[in-house]
Amino acid sequence: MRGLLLTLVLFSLLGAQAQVAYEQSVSLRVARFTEMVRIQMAALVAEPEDEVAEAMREKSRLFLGSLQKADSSLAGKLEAALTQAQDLAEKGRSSARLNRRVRWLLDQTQRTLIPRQTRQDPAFQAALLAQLLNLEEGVAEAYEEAAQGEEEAYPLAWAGLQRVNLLWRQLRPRLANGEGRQKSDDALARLGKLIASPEPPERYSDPEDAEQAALDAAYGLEQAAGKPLLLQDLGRAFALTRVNAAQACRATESGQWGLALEWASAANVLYEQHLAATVQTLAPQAHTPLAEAMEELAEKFAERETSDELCGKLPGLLAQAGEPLR
Amino acid sequence: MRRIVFVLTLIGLLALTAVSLTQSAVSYRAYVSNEYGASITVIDVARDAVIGTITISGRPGEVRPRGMAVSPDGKTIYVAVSDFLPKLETPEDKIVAIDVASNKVVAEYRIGTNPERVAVSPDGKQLWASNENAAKGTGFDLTTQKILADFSTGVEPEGVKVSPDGKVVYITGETSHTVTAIDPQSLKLIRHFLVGNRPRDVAFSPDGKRAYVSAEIGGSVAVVDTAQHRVIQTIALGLDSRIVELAVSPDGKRLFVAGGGTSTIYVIDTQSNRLIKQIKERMGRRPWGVTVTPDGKKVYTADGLSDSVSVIDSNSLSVVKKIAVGRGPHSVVIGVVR
Repeated sequence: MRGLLLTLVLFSLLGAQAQVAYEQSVSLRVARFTEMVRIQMAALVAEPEDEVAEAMREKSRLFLGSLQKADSSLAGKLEAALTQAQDLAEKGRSSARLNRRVRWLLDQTQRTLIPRQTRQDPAFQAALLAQLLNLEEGVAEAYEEAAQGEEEAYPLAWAGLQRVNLLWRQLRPRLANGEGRQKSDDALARLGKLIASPEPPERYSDPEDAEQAALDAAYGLEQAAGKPLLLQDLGRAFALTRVNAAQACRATESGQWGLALEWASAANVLYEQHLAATVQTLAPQAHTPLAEAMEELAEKFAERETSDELCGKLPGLLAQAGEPLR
Repeated sequence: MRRIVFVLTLIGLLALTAVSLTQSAVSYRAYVSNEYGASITVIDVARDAVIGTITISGRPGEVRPRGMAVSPDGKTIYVAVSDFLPKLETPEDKIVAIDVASNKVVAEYRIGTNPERVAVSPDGKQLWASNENAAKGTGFDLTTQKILADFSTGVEPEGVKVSPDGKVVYITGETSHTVTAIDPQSLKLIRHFLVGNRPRDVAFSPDGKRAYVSAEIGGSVAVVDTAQHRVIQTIALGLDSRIVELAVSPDGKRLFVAGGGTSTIYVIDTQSNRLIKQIKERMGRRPWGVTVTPDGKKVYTADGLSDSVSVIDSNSLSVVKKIAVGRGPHSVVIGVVR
């Protein structure tokens, strides 16, 4: 909780505008990755796949540290259930009952880690939907990958869209802006036509159709919520990455390995999703050592190894990579 | 004195007649790339009527014509063609040349994989293509018919243009939010620079001093000082504008920006860099492509979701006609018949 407070304080010092992606970055991360685990579980029931199960375990790193700290019993139950799901997937099997149990555990996780006021905030919920549709491994990307030949991604697109539609039905009546609601309805309907059944279509449409529909939905949601929902400012994304990396190193000092891994993974996700392409283009000499150091950091923390050397050099690498964005 | 006035008047009338005859000898044709129809619709600009359709492939929905460019004399249209499998290099990845006089495909060039857009140099000798999946910009010599060089660009390159003096090529990088500047004469990278979020297209002012870069997610146009290759101003059009192509009027005074998200054409005064008009009424749905006729009198938009082209009168800044075209219009350019 201290980490969370520190992040919020740092962000208010950074002068973040009223943007959900910054203000609620920690809660939003927990919400997004718990939802992604839920979606991956649903996809596993439809099509047991090793890779999906492995990805699901990786996603759980993005919140399990906080859960261990807040409720170690719940964290233990969730970890055990996810391990069981992964074991089944490796044998080409799945369990609807286990899926229900994981869903319930994920609901409890969200209640434990995300303050009620935040969970019930329509703008927060809208931001979550925008992320589930648009960000890496979201609905649009899963469709795009399936359309480009990676058929195992289709169940993720289907399960993701079903979840988004369910959350949208709950959120819709709470949003006042009719035009934004209508835009979201239309865009989700277009996605629904592309991803029309649990079975992959005989012929895929242009992968970019899904991307455009997902973006349209995000802009409809922004209009309906009356707040910017997508993370746009690269400078702030960089600041957030720095904060997460520093938190990761700090957590090792008190032996909180789960938290250290969570923060390090969060820093990696932020960098890869929002910054890597830009840094790679503008400062390629800074990108490679930074990307490697951040990945190594997460790997070490997963093995419960400290790394004073990495923690010592990360701020410098981040500063060097962030220079062209100034 | 009367005699002198008479002679001068006669000379003036003869000159006007000559100009008029010259002008009437020139006619314009609008070419619209239909991404899902795998075809190009040809429109007679004088009558705003469809006069033909050029088939790019017999496999609509699999082969996609997208970005286009016109040779400096207006006689040749270049079309970037690819398929829907950007990760694979296929025979469909090519630039197709169309002769405006005959409306026939006269040549095909392979200029890297998955070309999304194409630009032609002001001397008409070079083509430059943005190769989306390879993250490259590729130059091609039309005389030798050989690749000049390829350059690493930002991630997912799209918009590509050569400056009016032929000294720089700008290529936008969608995912890296960058523009790559290349010297097409020395074939050297000048630099990459940061612009708005998800840049889709670039247009130069006629004097070449400024370039304008659309940012689809940023909802803004970056004004670039082309001497320094850096952004000097940002014009915000609204996050939901989802702008893609832009076109500068021949006199350089106005910038037309296609806002797909709001089905609006944004008109910007380039002196003040201020928005002076939003053209919404009677616009087709999701305009992505936009171009201005060489005489500056009309603006054409490619409306992706309504399978139409909207015709805008440049004086009244209003839509005067909507023309049905093929499926999924992506871009529109103007060819010249002399």
